[in-house]
Amino acid sequence: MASTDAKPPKDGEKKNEEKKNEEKILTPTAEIKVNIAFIERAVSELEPRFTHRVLRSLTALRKRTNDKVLRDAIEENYPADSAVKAKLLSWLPPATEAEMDVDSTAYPPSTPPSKPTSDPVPEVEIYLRLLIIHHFHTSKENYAKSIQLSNETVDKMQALNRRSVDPIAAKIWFAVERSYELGGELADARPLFLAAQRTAALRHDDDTQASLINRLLRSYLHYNLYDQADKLVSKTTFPTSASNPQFARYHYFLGRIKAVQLNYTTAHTNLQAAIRRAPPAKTAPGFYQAVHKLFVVVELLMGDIPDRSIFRHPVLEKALAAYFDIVKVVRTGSLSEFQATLTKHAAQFEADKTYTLIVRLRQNVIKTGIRRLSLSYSRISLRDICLKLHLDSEEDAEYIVGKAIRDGVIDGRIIHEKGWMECEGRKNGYGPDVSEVYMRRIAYCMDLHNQSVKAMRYPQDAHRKELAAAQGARERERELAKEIEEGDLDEDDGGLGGF
Amino acid sequence: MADDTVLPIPNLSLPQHLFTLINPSLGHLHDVARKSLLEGIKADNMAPYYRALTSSSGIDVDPALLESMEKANEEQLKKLDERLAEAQKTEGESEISDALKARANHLTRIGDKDAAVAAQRLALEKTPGLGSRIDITLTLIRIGFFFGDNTLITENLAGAEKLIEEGGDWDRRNRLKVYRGLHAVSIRQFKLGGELLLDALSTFTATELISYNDFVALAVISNTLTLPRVDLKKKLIASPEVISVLPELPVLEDLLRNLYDCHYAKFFVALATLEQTYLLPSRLLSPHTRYYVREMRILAYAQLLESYRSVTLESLGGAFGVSVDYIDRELSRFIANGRLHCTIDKVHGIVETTRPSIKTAQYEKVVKQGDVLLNSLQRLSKVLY
Repeated sequence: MASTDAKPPKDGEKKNEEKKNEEKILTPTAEIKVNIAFIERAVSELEPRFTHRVLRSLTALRKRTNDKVLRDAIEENYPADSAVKAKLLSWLPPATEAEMDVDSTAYPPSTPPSKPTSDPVPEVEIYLRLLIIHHFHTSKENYAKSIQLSNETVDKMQALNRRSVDPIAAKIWFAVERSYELGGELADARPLFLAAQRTAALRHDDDTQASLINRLLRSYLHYNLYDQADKLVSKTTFPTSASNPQFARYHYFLGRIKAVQLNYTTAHTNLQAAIRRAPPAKTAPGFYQAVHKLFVVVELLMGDIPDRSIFRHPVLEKALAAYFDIVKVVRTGSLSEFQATLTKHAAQFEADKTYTLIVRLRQNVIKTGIRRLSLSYSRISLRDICLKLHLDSEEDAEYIVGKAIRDGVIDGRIIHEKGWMECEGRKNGYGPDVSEVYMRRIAYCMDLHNQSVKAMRYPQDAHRKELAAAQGARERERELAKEIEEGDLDEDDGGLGGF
Repeated sequence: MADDTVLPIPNLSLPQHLFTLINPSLGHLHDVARKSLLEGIKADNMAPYYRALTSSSGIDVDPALLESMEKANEEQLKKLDERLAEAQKTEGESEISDALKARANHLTRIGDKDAAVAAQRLALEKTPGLGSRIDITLTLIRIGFFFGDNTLITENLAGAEKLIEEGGDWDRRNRLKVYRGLHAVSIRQFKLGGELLLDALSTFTATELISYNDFVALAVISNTLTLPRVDLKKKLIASPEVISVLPELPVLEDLLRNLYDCHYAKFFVALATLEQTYLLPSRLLSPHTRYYVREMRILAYAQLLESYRSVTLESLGGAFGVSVDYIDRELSRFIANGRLHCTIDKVHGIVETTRPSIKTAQYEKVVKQGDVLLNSLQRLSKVLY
């Protein structure tokens, strides 16, 4: 799926709009109608592309819906006496007088919609329910209703068990979780998700599975149940064909779990993958900021100083200001300042759920100091280490350095009799693992290339132009053939001799 | 007013004086600055600028002065507007454009930023000749420098370059080079700025922007940092312009010669003096002071260490005229940041140099930049789903 679940529009959908209707901006109602046509086509031709295209426009569309739009859409697309229609309409508040008046002036009158004679496919119903749920999220008093509607929709979906519903179903799960969260009962949704995830795995429904695993991880982490989250990760396999946004979320959650479990290197790789797969910063600033906050903390915990240019990114500047302070303090290596900065920004770290991780940084202040020393000095006495890091005594210094060497932070030896520490110089050179490093990147590029080739499709209406051209060519050939038959070869005509 | 010499408006020495006044650490220069500032303002009747000044900084308003200046401004403006109206009636293209230019220049002179920019832009549209249009664009750039408005400067630099491509004469081309060089130095692009300033050294005529001595000083400062040794000797030390101006700026002479001749102790002294007397007070260069001084130090250390495989900390300290502790601190900082390639053996007090092969640096660069590229490639894969 190309769209992200919660975040704003792609620029592809603007072009879609224009392609659909020759330079006229569609009203939301009309757009829903076109989407429904697409969904029907998707079902009849078994091409999930159309469903994906419809879902791509979801984020922009749901901002423009209101009661009236939804009601009109339902009216237009269902025959007058449909049971489904009555059900759907019952969820929306009835039309009021004011809205009837607004109707005539609001949108330019288009051709009166023709009423269909039979129910459109059930996917359409699910799609409309999705829109209604999202609409309910916008106003507070509708939260309880949205939970009910979500439950009902979920039951319907399970009952339907149609593969073509799958992409829409994945979106529905996200909406369900949001309803529960807004209504304040996130924990209740968990058994629902677990059951659904089992069914989805059985049915090999990749999108839904991915979405559900992410929902579950999120609800576990929300209540700080890291153990259970870890067990979930180890027992399930995240489907590899899931879309980028789902992968981004998954890697982010993984990164958080690993970071809490002290596994910093894996957390770092995961978070880097999350950043790579995330949508560009402008379209999804919230996620970008959240991932980067965690990224910075994990990098500090690993002993590296994160690159300064991250903090200058326009989207990240303000959000990461507190983290920038922490980075500066860790760099200078002063414990008292660290304490001060920590208390200053404590509230924000609590809100970001990174407080516990940052508290662990206290050891790191010293560790980073040692690392920097090991980079510049090939041999330095313990006394000097003690002075430079403002430690209390030489024994302290020896102990800390020993621990650092054991943890693998630095690469060196302590010569106890002479009282100094020796370290090798930097060695990130052009060593034996170069081929591996290159191989990973090359493999990634080749993979991308192959997948792009596989995903190529003929442009939609190009074949019609070709048909017309071919038609014209055939006509001309026929005429020429006729002329040859009739033997109309005048000298001055120069008909066929022309070429 | 076809090809007059370019008028020195707005008066660019004034922002420098203002900067000195605002800066509390430059207290010893305050009196001189205040006097010159007020003189400059009075000379050009810069009422709007004066008003903006006094509201933002700590200079006291002199209401009588303000009034008299404003009156003079209004009279002048009225006269110019009448002239413009007449010219529009008689409908001569060149008269209209001349009148517009006069009006715009007046507004620029009195330091009224928005009105001046608007008027100059209007004059730009209506003026036919390429040369005059280039001049107007250069005036816009100068207004940008005066008020420190970087967006104004960059967009007009681009505009001026385009105009010059269409067919500017050599004089204007060299003038633009000076402008570009100055702008580059003010945004810390010392390499680019140094090159441009060096090129324009022999053909400098842009006195409206910066005085000749200041120009040569700036060229020396930026090039000492960025030129390799061979070019330093050939283009800077041996250049006649530099030789003629250097006696007036002894600090710069010390800096340049000692760096080239490897008298590091004297070099450090010259650097420190330069920082205090030239860099910190200068409006353009003071935000880059720390950067500049740090880079010069790294340059000096690298230059010395290049000739040695190992050298004691004491002889280093002696060579630079500083204490061993200072050297130790500096070196450890720069080595940890990867700027110098050596290691310190503190126990025996030796510094050993390592020769990093270019291959390592290239490899690391490839991996780093490649990763950045792959991250952005990632976005292409969105289409697949």
